[in-house]
Amino acid sequence: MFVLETKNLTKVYPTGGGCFDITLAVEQGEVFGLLGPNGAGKSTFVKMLVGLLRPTGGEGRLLGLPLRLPAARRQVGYLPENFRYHDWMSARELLEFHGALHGLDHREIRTRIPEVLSMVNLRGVEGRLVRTFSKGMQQRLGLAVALLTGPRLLFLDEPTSALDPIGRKEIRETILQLRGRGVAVFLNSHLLTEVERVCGRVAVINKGRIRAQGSLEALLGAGLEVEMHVGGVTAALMERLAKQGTVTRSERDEQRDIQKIWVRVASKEQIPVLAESVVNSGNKLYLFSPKRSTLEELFVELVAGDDHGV
Amino acid sequence: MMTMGFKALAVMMKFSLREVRRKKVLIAGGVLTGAFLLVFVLGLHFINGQIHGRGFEEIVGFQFFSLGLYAATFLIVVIAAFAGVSAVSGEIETGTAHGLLANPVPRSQILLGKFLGYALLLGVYDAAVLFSIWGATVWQLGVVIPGVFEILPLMFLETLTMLALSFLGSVLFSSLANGITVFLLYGVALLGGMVEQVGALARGLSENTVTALINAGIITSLILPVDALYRRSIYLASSKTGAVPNILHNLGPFGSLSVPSVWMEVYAVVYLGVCLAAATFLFSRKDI
Repeated sequence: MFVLETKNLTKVYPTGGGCFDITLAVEQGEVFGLLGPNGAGKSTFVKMLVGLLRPTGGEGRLLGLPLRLPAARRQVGYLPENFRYHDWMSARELLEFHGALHGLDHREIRTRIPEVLSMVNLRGVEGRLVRTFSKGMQQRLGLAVALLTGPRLLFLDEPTSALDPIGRKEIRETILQLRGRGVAVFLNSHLLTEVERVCGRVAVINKGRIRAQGSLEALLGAGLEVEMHVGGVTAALMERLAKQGTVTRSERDEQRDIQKIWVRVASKEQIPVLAESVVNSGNKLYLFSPKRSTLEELFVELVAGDDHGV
Repeated sequence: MMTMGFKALAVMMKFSLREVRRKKVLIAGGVLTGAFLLVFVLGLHFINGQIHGRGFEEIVGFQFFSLGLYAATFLIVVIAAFAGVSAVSGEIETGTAHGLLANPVPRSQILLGKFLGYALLLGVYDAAVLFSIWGATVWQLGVVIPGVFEILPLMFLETLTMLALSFLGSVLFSSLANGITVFLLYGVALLGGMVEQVGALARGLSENTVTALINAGIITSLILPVDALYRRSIYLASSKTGAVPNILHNLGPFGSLSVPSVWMEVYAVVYLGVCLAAATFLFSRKDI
């Protein structure tokens, strides 16, 4: 079941920027990552989904309800990128306030507060005013607010921007725990390694448009690259390699009398075939190193390619 | 069972009341209002004993009451303007709007809940200040000003009108721009009210001049009917005083020789409703 669906969802600002024709879907219990450089339109997209911006085109549904209905956000949690809260309240009062606005009754709120504060490691500071919290604590508190209502869909916009490495690890673990409980998490993040660790599927957005989306396996599998150091390279070998994949680079190392060749292949099954081609053609193979592309490489390739295309 | 919308209204009302208490607005407001009342009582005290002559006490008492009411109205309108000046823009400027407005509540309920919270507080303040001025006049001069229960709703209407205008401005402008706008509008309304009274008082002027001065006051009252409501409330009180001619009570800048009609009350209610409706409509469509 999809907890989030958008079809050609568009927001055009008067300046011409925004995000355009975003079509994607997130399933229950899935962690979905939205990646993009600064100003790509990530936060604009999330703000449309949580009711802060009015779309100028397309449509979207949260848990089956149209975005325009406040009720669509009843089982949705949101940690904004700018996690600023009313700092004259204590942490408990802030949670009670947001819980009440979400329609929770007093008893539910009282039960949930210790639970969510434990989840974000903020037990024992409930009575302190928010203004006395460090930035990292405020971000954790924001996550507690987002989790308070037991959401089925959670939007996290740069959730670890103010956290130290330990805090980041804790948030990562929390996301995985939530996934285990069937909560769908929509993660906006610059931290690609973090996304790679928790997300099942990702979308890359640049200049307001989705450039690629799919499972990490599908996206990164396409980028399997083999580095070879070969002696006695002939034109016939290069032709054969080009048939089995894409030769992305080729450099001559005069000192060692070898040719360094990088070939991108579509699947891991092609790796032994590639090795056989070199060996069977009588060339000397000094190094054979298959490497799966990282999300960072994919990201840079997509974004840089986009920039060059303009 | 309360619907979600009404529950959100109640939650936001409570939020506003708590915010006022936490930000020490009540303490500051209480202390400074106390200082204002002290000055007023001292003024009455020193004038007491200097008044001789039948009916003269009533005129002086009424003039002092008008002065106190005028100053109190000024304070209340300024407080109402301050209360609303950053009601929406402040949430946006500080970034708290992001967490607040993502809740599953119509924005109209958030805005109206805040408005009602401030309105409740200001209503209590209106009553406290009005009865303090009235009580001080009775206590020091022995003059009982009639019609105080007719003044109170008009005073509250003035407060709500200014609050609603300020809320509308906070949806449209930044806090600073809104503050400047509502205070300038209030300044125009005050000046227009004075000009209208001068027109009614200056019998020696040509008829055209008098008409122009009175019309200027009416036009500024239509822009912001706060001063007109004050003039009407003073008229209602003075029209119920004893044997002294009404005109004697209404001489001076705080009186009401040019009396706004009852339609100005109706206009103020419509004005308030339009401001609130526009504020909620625009807020519900505003990009954050």
